[in-house]
Amino acid sequence: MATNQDTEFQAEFSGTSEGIKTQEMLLNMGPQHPSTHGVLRLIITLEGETITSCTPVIGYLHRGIEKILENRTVMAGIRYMDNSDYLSPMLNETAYAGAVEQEMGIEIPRRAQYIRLITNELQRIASHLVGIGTYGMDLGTTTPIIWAFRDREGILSMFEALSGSRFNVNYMRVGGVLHDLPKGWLDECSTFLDKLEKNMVEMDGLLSGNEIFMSRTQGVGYIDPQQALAYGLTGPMLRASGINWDLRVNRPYMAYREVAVNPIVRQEGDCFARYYVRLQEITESIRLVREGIDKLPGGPISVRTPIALRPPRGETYFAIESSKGELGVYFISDGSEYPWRAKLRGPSFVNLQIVPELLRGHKMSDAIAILGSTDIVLGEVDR
Amino acid sequence: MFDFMNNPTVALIVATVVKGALLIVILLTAFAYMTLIERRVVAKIQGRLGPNRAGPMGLFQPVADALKMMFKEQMIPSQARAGIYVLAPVISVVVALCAFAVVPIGNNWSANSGVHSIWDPFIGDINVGLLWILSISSLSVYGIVLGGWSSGNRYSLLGALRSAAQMVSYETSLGLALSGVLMWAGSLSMVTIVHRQLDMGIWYICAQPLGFVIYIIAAVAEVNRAPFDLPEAEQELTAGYLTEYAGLRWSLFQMAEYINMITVSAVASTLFFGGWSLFGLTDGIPILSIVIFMIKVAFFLFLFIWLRATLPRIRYDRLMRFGWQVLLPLAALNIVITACTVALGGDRFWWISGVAGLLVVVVMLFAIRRQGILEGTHFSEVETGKPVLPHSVRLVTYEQEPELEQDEDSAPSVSQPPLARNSNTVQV
Repeated sequence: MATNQDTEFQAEFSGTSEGIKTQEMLLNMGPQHPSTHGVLRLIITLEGETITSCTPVIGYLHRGIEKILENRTVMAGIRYMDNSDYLSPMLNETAYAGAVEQEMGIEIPRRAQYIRLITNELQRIASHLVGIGTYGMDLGTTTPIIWAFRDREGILSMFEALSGSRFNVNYMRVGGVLHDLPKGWLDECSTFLDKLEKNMVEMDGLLSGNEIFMSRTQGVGYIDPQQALAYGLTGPMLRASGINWDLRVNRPYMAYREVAVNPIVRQEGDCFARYYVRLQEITESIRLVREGIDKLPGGPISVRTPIALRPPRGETYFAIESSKGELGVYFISDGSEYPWRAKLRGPSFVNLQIVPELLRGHKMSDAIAILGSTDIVLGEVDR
Repeated sequence: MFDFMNNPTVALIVATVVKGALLIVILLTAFAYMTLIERRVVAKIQGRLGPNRAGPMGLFQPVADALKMMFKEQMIPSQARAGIYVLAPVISVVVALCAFAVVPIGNNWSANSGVHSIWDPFIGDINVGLLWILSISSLSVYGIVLGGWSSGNRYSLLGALRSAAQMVSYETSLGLALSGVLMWAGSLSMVTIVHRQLDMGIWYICAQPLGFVIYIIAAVAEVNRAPFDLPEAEQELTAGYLTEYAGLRWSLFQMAEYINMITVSAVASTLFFGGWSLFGLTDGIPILSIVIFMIKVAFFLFLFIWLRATLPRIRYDRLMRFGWQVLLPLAALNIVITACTVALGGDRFWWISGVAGLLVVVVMLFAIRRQGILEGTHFSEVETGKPVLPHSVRLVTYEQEPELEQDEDSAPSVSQPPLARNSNTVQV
């Protein structure tokens, strides 16, 4: 209120705006807004169409997953990790199981490592497909999202064949995975990948070369490398700003120690770069899954673990490269069956922090383009 | 019984009323099935099935939709100005229906002899046909603005204002683009324009490629369809001026939008694609001309649907800049080119303005693409099919490490971020 009165006072007595009263408008975007991707609420101050400030309000999807993990045994807790980043449950489970394995000093069998690689990369493809599809939707085109969900459907069906569940897969176990691959699953997977590769060329043609798409995304929402590091961004958002940091390469874990990953890096740092990094990562993931299928060794899929799993007293931090960035689990055990604390470092939560900084000075319709390019999942932000 | 038809004035009135009623029925049916066709075609493009449950191939879907819309409750928001709020959709539809009156749907029944009958397939062959279409279509903004303003909703008002600005801006280019055709035809009557194209032996798309491109772009903006559907931008304005409307009033707005679409398609085929003519095929059989006209209109309608399924929405400030700084000067340039050609010697030199217009279109497309090349986002394909990345992108490949354990610091990297994090287990 005081600000508005000051503005009026200045306008009245300085004579610059010739007596026209200007007032900042407060716009409440969300939690029920078509393009805030879930239940994010943005309190935006507008001057005309230009955004002067933005405050994200989070917590509308808080389910207390970290607290739930403390009240479940380790094996039972894996299932609750599915609900954190609900677009990439396989990756979440891998992070949690990997943290416990690291705490217990278990080295899982190579076959389990490769199955984890295959499922993780498929999950990354699924997550990026949703990211790209909804991004197209944000910019007003309806076809990419349908195409993306059509392809994602194939991945979900394969997960269903694998684990019995499309979405909350509950497939990873401490020490390995739940089931071995069903008969014929790998052939189906290869067929699907061939089809997906063709579809991604189509998607590339539909969106990337489109003048309107480029004019909406290029040069919008620029993050320079220093800023990206300062905000602790990870994943495609960091790599789109020209910083070559991928945990699968820089801190390789499990089968990534044997399978080489080409990180996709772009220098532009704008919305288009973030979109394009995701698109190219899908291609890279297809290659990785194929390599995983080729190299898939025989042998056991799990090490024997006691039914009452008691991780030794101690704490550990284990991070994987999730589809959104570094997904870390800080696992503290007091030696009982229950974790004393399991803290998640959700990449969406960290990546969201730069949004107010990015939105300032942009137009209202750019706000949606920028927010969509961060590809946040509110399940992981609020947990 | 039909003695009164011997009086020419009465006969004309009767014929006009009957034809008008028939046209309204045709247009409303076309609107209903246009919604079905659009949903089916978009579904086809997106790899879905679309509505196929109601009747064979979903043919009764429009009926089901209409019934649903009729029985919906129609509320008037407490903030709304009731009178205007109710009137606005009606204005939209009436205006949309009126514009079609001067479009010749087919050839004269007496086929090419120039003898006019009162039952010829157009309602009025007025000598200001083109002006009638322009003026009536500019009235359609009233329905939208009044509807948005009277709803008493901020989103509605924003959508309505955007719509007004957009339609006014693109109308200038639309009118200028059509004046090229006007110069060639020397007449404002739609019927005469078609006959002039027959006389010259070309469709005006050959003489007016630039005018046609401008007209199509401006027409898409004029009827508020994607990629210019900013007034109802879902992601930004919920539904723009439609936000507070429901039920039959909402479908009246939809009806207006679709009928406007049909009208601009009909105008495009009449002015640039020879109307109902097709290489003399219609000489003997006048009824064939109606079929040919419908096929031409259907082609443009398909274009609208195709655009909607493919393109993202353009940003508002760029929309205005595009309208005023690109389309309007180009339309003026088109007028200059056409005027020079017509002054040069008339019909024989139509190819001069055709080639010049085509050249301008190609140069414009090249200029637009070049802008993208400068920003380093276009990749050229080499024979392997893999894209060649621009120099701004550094792709790093890694040799495969044979050992299981890889030294953490030995991972080659172009620009290693100054991050130091230990992922080792720390015992408490």
